[in-house]
Amino acid sequence: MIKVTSGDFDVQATIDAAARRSIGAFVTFVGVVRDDGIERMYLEADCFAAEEELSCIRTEAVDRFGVETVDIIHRVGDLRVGDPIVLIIVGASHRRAAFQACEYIIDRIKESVPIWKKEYTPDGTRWVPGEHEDKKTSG
Amino acid sequence: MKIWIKTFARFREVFGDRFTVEVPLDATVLQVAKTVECMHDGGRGMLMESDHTIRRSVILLRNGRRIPGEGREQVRLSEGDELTIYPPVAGG
Repeated sequence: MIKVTSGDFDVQATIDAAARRSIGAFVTFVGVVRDDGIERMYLEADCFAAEEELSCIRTEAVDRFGVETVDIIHRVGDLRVGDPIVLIIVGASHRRAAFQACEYIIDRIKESVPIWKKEYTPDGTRWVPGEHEDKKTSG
Repeated sequence: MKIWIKTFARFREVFGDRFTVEVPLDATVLQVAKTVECMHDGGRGMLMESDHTIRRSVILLRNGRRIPGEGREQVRLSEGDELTIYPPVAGG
């Protein structure tokens, strides 16, 4: 499943849906809203383009690491500290490929998927700079 | 000619989410980006470097398709095209 949604996700249900007899390992990554002195966070996306990009990343991961299943769910909208943001579940016959693919996927999401975070703090708001940001655009 | 502009996140807050700009026939992506940046004082430096090139971290799409980095500034647009301008992404 590839999805950008305002709803929450169910980790176990997603694993159950991906399960097949040839899979020996599922690696799960859940990104959550960290308390960096914020009150809440708003996530914005170009949803259609984001799902297209996530699908491309899934294909890349399957081709590179030979994993069997990749599910990615990314949330948008208002979230609070501790709320889950993103779920990545990779299923593979062996653990090593699953771990490698999972790390590759989250790195690629941070690099190219059109999703942005705005943090609300007691002092105001700020857009979270991307990891591939240069200084001038982060103001 | 008329070009549609679509922006997101911090660019949307400064420039607006979807609007048109009037540019000369066969204008390049660079010309359109300069036109957009000049529309709002608060946008100065957000899209363009001081040497008048487009910031590398700014992502551009023409009619929903990414314009690859190499030579993207010289891509010529056509009447009615939509140029989407993304700030650096920060998902995950």
